Amino acid sequence: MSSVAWSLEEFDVLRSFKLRMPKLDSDGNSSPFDARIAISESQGANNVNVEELHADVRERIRETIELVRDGKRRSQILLISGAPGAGKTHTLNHFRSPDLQAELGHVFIGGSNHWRIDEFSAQLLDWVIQGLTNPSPTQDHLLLERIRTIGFRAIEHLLMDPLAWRSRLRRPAWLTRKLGWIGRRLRWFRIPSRDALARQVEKRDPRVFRRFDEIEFGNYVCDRFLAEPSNPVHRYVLQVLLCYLFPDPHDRGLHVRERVLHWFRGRGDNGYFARRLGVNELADQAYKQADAVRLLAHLFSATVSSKLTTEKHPCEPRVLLLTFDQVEGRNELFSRPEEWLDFFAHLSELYNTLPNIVVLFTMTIALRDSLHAKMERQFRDRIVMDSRMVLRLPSERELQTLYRHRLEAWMLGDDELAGRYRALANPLLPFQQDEFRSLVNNRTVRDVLEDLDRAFRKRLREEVIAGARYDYLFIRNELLADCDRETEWDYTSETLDTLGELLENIGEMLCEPYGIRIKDRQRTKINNVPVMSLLFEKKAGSLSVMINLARVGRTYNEPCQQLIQNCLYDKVKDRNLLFIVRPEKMNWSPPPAYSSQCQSYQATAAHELILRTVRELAGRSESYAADPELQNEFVATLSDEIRKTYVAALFQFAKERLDLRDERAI
Amino acid sequence: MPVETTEGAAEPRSLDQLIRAAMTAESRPITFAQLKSNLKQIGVPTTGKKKVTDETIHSSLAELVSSAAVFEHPGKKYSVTPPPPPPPPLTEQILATFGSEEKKSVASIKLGLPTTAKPADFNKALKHLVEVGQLFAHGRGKAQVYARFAEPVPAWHEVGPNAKTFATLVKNARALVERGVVEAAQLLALLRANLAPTVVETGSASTSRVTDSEAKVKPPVSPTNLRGELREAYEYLCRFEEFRDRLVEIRRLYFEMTKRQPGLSVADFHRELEAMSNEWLIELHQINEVQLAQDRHLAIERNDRLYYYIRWK
Repeated sequence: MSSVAWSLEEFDVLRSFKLRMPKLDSDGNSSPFDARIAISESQGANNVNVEELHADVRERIRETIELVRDGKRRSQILLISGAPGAGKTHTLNHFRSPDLQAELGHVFIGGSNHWRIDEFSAQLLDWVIQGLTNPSPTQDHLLLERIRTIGFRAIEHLLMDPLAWRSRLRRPAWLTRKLGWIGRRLRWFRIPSRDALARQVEKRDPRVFRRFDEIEFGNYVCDRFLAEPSNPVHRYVLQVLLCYLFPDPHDRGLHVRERVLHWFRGRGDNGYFARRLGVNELADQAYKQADAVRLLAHLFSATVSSKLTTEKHPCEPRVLLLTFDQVEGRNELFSRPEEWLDFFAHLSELYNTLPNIVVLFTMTIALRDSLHAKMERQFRDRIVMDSRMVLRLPSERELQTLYRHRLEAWMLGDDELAGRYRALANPLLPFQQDEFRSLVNNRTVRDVLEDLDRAFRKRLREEVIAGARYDYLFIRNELLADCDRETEWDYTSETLDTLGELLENIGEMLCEPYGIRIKDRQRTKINNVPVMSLLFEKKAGSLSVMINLARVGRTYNEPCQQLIQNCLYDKVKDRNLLFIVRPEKMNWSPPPAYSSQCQSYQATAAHELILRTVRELAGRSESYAADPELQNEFVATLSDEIRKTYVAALFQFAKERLDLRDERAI
Repeated sequence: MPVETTEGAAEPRSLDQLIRAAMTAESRPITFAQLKSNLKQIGVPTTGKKKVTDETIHSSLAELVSSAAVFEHPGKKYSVTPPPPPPPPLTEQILATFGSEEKKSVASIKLGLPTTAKPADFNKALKHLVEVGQLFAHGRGKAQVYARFAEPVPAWHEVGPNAKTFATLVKNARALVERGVVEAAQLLALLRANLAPTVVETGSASTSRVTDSEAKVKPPVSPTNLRGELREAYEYLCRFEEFRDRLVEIRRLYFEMTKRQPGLSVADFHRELEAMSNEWLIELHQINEVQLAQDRHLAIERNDRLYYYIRWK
């Protein structure tokens, strides 16, 4: 029975919680606290973002991003450290949110840690491209938008000069040239007027780019917008990017956008860009990749953004938030200390040449302590490592919020239940305030979630009744974890104990369908084999049979001989019987003289799981006794389940032997 | 000494009475031979056919001793007066010479003794007293004195008492480094490891290697005092560059605490930290890389986790 006096509303919500827990697609129960390790790449329903957790650290990161974005501070390095499970990745994931990225003006960049130091440039370029082309390269994305803005702004600049724009227009097609003045008169081939172009630009119509020559226009953009216009790598990279604006009518296979991405990843393009740009160059060397990253970051800098901004079309700068998360279970990014130095040198170069980079590390305290000196030496005044950046343990209030958020996320899709839960006075259901406080007890988020998970499951399992059949399935799912953890041999090693407890509680109820009863029950060991001697009879004072139930292990030939010798030899044949069980099948036949007295059966882990579940359920028989309907369901459930186990075969064996004895007596 | 005869007495007396009479005449304890001689003088036949045998005298004497009518004295002598009480043991005599706040040299202790003692016995008694913690040696060599209280442990900032030893240590260390036998960093690490307060584990509880005497002398630390000291030690450590983010290693805090509370055991220290953590006063943080943990026994191990850092809320 419940140790807590629930109100009707509370009990109703708890019952709904219990009904919600079993998974439909597998044998297991889901709980609001299942996901306890924040996954870098995921923003799943269970990775609930609780903004109150480590709010000061989030605020510090936000401030830094804003300062760098507005050009008030140059690129910065941030280092979050904390104990395992304190919420480092959780805090980091907060900045993945697309809405927050748009609000703060940063681009979240980061990914796997499985790369070597010599792969850093390529890896970083991949991440930057991935970050800038979110959500998908084939949809509108940040990079495309920025290239278009550059293109439109370049045309606006061109149109300011009455002559310059004409020289960048696309050459007339061969047919127009053939047709001479007639061709030039035709509307289709007519050269657009300056006003027409200005109108298209005003409307931000991307079709305006078709009017311009790709190479000429590209050169103009490079000269105007590049910080280092003479850098050939930068020029080539920008030319490649400008291909976004000039769709290729003859393109086959991958779309031009994807081709651009693959070019950045150093993949061969079968001369595609050579055909379009007149020269082929691959981003296959580290310095080219680093240059490409620099160029991409530069395009989003405050300098370029200010050049692109117009009154009507503002262009906000963006900060590249490079994140390096120390992955759970892995000590460090690099194994050798000198690799760390190389890595820091790479980062140093990046933030020294670019104004809009914020590097965010998460590290455990020990790793941070070991790298502390190196980082300070390398980054000097650019690194932020104050006491705020060490994650604190959450307060009780924060944990209560986390609890509510977890439950809300878990109930997602069931508004009716969520509404009933919100209406309760105690949002910590099924716990009381004091109980919750002692349960969470000043520890890391992960540890707290682990204990909450355990306590939540236990409370619902033991104190909430949802019907015998349902409770049976619930308990079975909970016990299944133990079954999966152990081998079949270990799991079934104490099956006689389980059966003993079961018979103690509900022995009569189980025997009733077979018309027999257990008169006496004893436990012994014969040659280290556990044996339970059960004395069956039909009614008090009638003829009885003694069945010795034995559970043998891997070696069974000799123990079986011993069992026969001890239990059957020189004893009344009709009365003394042997029932041997084992998790696996036995290739054994008893001696002919005893064949009618012996029977063997397979007692698998599945049988044991049923017995254990029934045992636990039987311990709560009083809860079902109050309501006849519940009681009937309870009895039916137990009988049905027991029928699936070796216990049913045992009772059947006893019944047959008792019948036989009665017949012979007559 | 001649004994007065009692010839012509009306009633014959028993042997017990005669023995007592023979002894009463003597002012000092007498031997069995003297007793026999005195008995002879008062008419007890000791020769001839009716003589009283030695066995008879012995048995009577034993009865008299058991009934406390006659007392046995050292040297197999007997008297009707009880023997004087034995002098107190030497250890007690030595202790009696000390006042509660007094310090004495060996010579002055000997002078204060009521009886003279053999040097070997005296040294043995003094050693025993020091071993059981009833006396404490102060100082060394010729300047060594003894007292009933322990020598006070110097405060962590006092260098005076061990200045000479420290100077020698520095000199030797410098010589080793200059010769290139060992690097300075290595040597420092070794010294740190060897000079740090060593802790001996006893089962689940651990105690620091502080002599019993010191432990006895220090008054018990109340929880409030201990918390106050913990806070002070923590704040002191936070001034160091390595702890500027206010996350302090528990082992370092313990070392700092032992300077302030030399008798503080690891178990008490841990208990206090756990209690404060349960009251949400401090945060205990785990270390992920347990292989890097130093002095692991000083950290708190609970539920497969190693709590290695502390932070005040």
